Amino acid sequence: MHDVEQIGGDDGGSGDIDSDNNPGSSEEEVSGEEETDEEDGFGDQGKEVQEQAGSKRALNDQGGKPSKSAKIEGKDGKLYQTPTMEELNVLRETQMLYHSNLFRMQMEELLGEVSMKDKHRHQLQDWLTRFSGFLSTLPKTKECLLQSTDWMQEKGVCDPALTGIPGVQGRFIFAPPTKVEFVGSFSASTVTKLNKAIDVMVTMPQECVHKLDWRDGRWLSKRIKYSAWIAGSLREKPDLVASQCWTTHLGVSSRPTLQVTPSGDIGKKWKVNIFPVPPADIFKPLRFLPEKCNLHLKWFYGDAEEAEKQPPTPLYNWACGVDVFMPQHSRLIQTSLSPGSNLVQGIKLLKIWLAQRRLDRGIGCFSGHVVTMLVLHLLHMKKINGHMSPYQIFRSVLLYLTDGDWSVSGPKHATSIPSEAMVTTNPQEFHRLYPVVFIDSSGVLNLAATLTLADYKRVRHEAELALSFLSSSDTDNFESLFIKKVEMLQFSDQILCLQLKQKEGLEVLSRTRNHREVRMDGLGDGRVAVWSEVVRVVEEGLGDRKLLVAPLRSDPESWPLDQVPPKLQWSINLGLIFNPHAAWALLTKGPAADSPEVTVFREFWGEKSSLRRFQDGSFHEAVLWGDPNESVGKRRLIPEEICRWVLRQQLEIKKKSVHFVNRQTEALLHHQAYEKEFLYATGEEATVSFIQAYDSLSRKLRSLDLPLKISAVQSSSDVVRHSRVFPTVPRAIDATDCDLLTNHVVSPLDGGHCKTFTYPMEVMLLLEISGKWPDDLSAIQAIKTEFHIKMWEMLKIDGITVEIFQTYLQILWEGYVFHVKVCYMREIYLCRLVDTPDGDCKEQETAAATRLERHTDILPKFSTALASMQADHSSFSGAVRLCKRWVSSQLLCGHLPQVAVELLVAYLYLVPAPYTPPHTPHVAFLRFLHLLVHTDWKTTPFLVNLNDAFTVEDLVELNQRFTSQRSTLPSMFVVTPYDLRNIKNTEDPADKDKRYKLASHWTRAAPLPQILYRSKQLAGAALDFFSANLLKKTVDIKTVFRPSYDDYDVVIHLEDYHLSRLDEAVDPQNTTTKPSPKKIGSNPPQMVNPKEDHTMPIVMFDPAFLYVKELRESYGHLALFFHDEHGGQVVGVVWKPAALTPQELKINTLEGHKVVGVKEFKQVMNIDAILSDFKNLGVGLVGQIKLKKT
Amino acid sequence: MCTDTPHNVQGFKVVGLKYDNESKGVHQLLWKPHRVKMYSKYKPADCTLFVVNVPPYCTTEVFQRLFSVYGKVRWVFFHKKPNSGPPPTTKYPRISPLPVVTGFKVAYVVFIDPSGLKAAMSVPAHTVLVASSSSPLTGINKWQAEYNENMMLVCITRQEVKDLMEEYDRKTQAKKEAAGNLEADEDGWVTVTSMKKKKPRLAKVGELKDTKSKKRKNKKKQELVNFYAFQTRQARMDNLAQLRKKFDEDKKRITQMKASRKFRPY
Repeated sequence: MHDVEQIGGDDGGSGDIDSDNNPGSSEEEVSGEEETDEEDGFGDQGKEVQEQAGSKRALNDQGGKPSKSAKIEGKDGKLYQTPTMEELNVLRETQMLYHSNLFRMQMEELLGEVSMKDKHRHQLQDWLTRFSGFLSTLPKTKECLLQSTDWMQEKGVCDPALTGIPGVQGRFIFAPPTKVEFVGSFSASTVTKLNKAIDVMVTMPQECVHKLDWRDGRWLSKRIKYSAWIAGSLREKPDLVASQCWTTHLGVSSRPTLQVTPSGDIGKKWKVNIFPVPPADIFKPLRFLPEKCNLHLKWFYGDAEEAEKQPPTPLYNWACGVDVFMPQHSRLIQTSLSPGSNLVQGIKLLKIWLAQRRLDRGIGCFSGHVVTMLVLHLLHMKKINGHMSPYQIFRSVLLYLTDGDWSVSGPKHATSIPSEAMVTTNPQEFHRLYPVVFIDSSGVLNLAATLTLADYKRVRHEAELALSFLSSSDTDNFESLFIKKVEMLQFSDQILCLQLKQKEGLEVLSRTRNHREVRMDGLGDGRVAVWSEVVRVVEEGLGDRKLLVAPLRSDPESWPLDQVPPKLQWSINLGLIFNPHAAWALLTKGPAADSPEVTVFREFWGEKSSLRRFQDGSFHEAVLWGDPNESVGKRRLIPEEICRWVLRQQLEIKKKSVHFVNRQTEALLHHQAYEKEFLYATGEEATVSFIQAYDSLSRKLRSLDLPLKISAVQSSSDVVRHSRVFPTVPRAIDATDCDLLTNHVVSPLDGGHCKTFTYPMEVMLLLEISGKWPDDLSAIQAIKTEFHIKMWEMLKIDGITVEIFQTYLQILWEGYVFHVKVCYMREIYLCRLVDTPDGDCKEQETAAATRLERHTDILPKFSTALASMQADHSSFSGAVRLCKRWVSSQLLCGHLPQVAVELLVAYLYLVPAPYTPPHTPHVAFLRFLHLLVHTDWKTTPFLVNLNDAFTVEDLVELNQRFTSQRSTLPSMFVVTPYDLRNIKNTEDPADKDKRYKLASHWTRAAPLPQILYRSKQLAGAALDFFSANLLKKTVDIKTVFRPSYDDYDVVIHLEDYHLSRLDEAVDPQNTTTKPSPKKIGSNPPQMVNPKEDHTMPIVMFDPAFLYVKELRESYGHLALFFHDEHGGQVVGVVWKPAALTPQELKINTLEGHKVVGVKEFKQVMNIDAILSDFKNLGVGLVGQIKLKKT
Repeated sequence: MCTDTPHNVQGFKVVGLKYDNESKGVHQLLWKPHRVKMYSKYKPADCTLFVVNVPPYCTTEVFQRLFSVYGKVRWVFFHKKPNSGPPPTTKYPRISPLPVVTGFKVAYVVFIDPSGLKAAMSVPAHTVLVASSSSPLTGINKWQAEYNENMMLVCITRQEVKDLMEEYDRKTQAKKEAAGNLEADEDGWVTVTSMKKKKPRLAKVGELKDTKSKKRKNKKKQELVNFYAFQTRQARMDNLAQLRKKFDEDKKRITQMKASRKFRPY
């Protein structure tokens, strides 16, 4: 929660946190201090130990007897050996320079894994020599017009340039390059396997380039032609180049780049990008300053009217300048970075981190080149130095990223010798023309020119998140930083898909300022401007509702040589991350009525804006988005409404072009039948209202005058933890239509059916301590019953409908049903006592005691913890219920315990890395599926630290126990702090055992490893479906919730008529249309207010559940049964493999088998009889039984 | 019924059992005379038939009817596992009800006289019995009936509670008296029992904490840390050992992670 707020504040006020400390320097100070401190402590120790070692060596040399201490050392093994200097250094370094031991080792492993192998390096160098040799043999060509493309067609190369640009003047001539060399990541050895492209710079000779080529698109055209000529020549050299294609440089469509795949093995691993650059000094560097006009409106649009106007062309200048300054940058990098140094490793870490967030390539990327230059900049600024560990460099760069704001005052690369341009450069001018600024060492080029504001914000957001992971004590932060891939669908709470065709895109562009100049600047590609405008409008519309609006980019395009470049994609997907405190507000509050901003606000919101009076008496302009008692489920759609409105209002984007991913999966939480009587939506309100009834009932119960006072009222029901998938709502009962016993509806025995399903909440009463309780279990039960009877009498007098059952009291209260029972905590202990042969009794774990402990002690605590989780994260309820709904819909309920699902979802909220905590059920559900797919249950313990209640020792101990006792522990290991018992002595091993005895008890009986495997497969399929279809407009999300029955040996179909929970099914059917035998001829039902109704409904009667339970009891040793408890119409059966093979005859295990054989008897499963039983056990409920065809 | 079904298996007779006439599947009941060394008056050896592999839908009533063909049936007992002892009983069905036997079970059919047993043992081969009965054995009707029966009548319950508590009081009283009885019996022996035989008490959380903190305080008072030179040296060595231990553990974890290919970020 904390970091979310921080980010929120930062977003709005552009870094109030940073304002008081000097950017960057504070960190240095801190680390500096640490360093000296540690040095003192540790340095001393080192010396001391050395001395000690010295003296001992002296002793041994003199032939003295080994001292006592030596003996002790021997016993403890290596731990007490005298350390070597080397070892001490490593330990010391780790303490000083790294997060932790493990982190350091993980980092080293990772760097080893992603770095380029020396073998490959040599191979590539060899290849380059051959390549360069080949290029130098190419003949010089005759001069031709730059415009002509005939020769390209001859060579079988298609022009990769954008179409629709006016002709470019000038002449083209090909001559062999003067120099071919590696630049960028390869030459600096910062290349990682995550980005397989290596850059090669090809310097064109003087004769190819004219000094006026900077004008009107000539240089960009010329570099394309030069690349194309090379490509054409390479086609005949299959021994040098295996294949070639076009891509774009940093996603900029005006800079197509030739990508070649070297032939041989090396080509499978690495690709090479070819960048032709002009010879040195042919262009004046100052020509490429952003404010310069290098394109002319007259040339681009062909009309002479605006001939005099000379608008700046920042993007074009950048596109040319990149090539011009490439040699200079390359030199700078090579002189500053030595291969294998910590700086290089730090850069690699940053690149990996960016790549995992998919920020390192394509349009609007934070490229590897920018990273390298940034590190060099910080090096010159003395914010980092070569002695820092890669981890420290990584951390410093992140800190630097979060500290400043490049959109307001971007860094200016410092060099030792400032160039002419550097002196004259005006950063203000840069900021006026580019959204994000990072000025290079020449002072001319903006390295961050292609970075849009939204992308830059995303980088900062990620940097802030990364720093928060690093400062958390969680040990998994390494993985979440570098190993886990950030999936775009799971990254954003909701997704806005804007589908624009080129025509629509251009229309939107024409509504922006300076659109003619912008279009020319991008050489016809105005997409970035359109997207920035869309993001700006959406951001302004959402205001403080959002934390981040991040464009979700697709991978950069590449296309074969002989094909035309793909059409420009104008559509964009925006991932929205919300600020949970403000996101669902009903009102967008504007400025006060008398302030000058009113007109701006009114203009932005148009007719939606209206003047409103607020409670404090002030008048404000405001926009209202729904009525005050709107349900949470509906409120989650408010951002969609806002976005649609502002996009239409501001940019005239049509409704059908906007598509939102938000309600699709949540639709599964809707309940048609409940919707009729309650504002149900996604059920959060129903849960809350149930809990309110529970609170008022507990007040009522406390007011009763019982012999012992009630000391606590608690509940273990899933309603209390907001995780009941479909909480029952009060429903009026048509009393004329049912069989009644006093005023309790009873099951009709004449073939009628039970129409509704009512779920009771279990309530436990703890009484004040008394010494008068008996020691005998059945006597305790009798006393409890006595209490129940007493309460029954009292409640009866107050006119409350109440019914007595064997272990509980059933109360109808405000339309809800409660099962109330008295609990006695000492009963757990009494259950644990076992008689010993010598007539005494001793304490021992028994199944009954554990069951009781779980139910009366652990579960209520756990429920409270989850309820507080709901209070912190309003989307938790929806999330956990959606996940449970899915688990059940895939027929896994009972096999994957409900509590386990709840715990895993809670874990997603507690440890959201590498994301922010989920703010919508939808995204939590996707992450849950991802968790099921990508978890290695064998090696991953889930320590769900609810309320931070684990102590440090607990975490260490549990981890250790997990590794050492893995085989005896449940296949899914999930522990909460509430599963640990309080013990007297923390040192005593027996006591310790007792403390951790119940660890992961929720998953002890289930799931089986097979079920985990199955759930992994199912979740994988669901995720695949989502990633393929979620962004599509017309997609039936319910597909994910419809199980396939192909894998079941037997499929038992159930008749709808008796399924009391059919309303909860994925595809609900209208059950009311079914003729009920009693309905005919009865009076029209009288509508009674359900809260005042005194008729007890049929409670917790679910024939399908009873049927499956009976099947499991009877045939559980032979088969597994699968059913969806939410109105599932099918029971799937899978035979256990062992049951299908004939076995030795054992009379005691004959259950369900038959004896075969003549002399030697075997037992085989009696399938025919069992199949008949399936039918007979569910008379009236079971329809068809289908066998799998084999 | 399959033709390859044996009729006699390890002294058991094999008999078929169908749910009703329309059922295709046939279960095998195996039965033989009940013979164990332990004598129980509920299961007399010469009159009791021991039946295994009884399908879940068989009730006492069904068995009474099925076996009355062979002779008058006195009792039918069901158990989950073979049990020669008496069947569990309860005087207070509403407070501590009998556990219901579910799934496949074994049955003891007690005939009034041995002839019934003999008749049952001479059952012809390939006999198929039919279980159907007048009351609902299974399915919706059974569940609905069970639901309706679950509700308790307050007056009966109250009586049971009263009886049970009276009995409990009598028992505890008797125990007390027995404990207090210090007179010599016929042989002149006096039975002495510990008066203190109380069950161990549950420690409370608050108390636990108290004792802990007290102990800690005491320890602190007694020890002098950083007093002698060897203590500081030892502490440093311990610190180093700790670091090494952690280092080794982490190293182990790394190798494990490496094995599970955790360092491939792609």
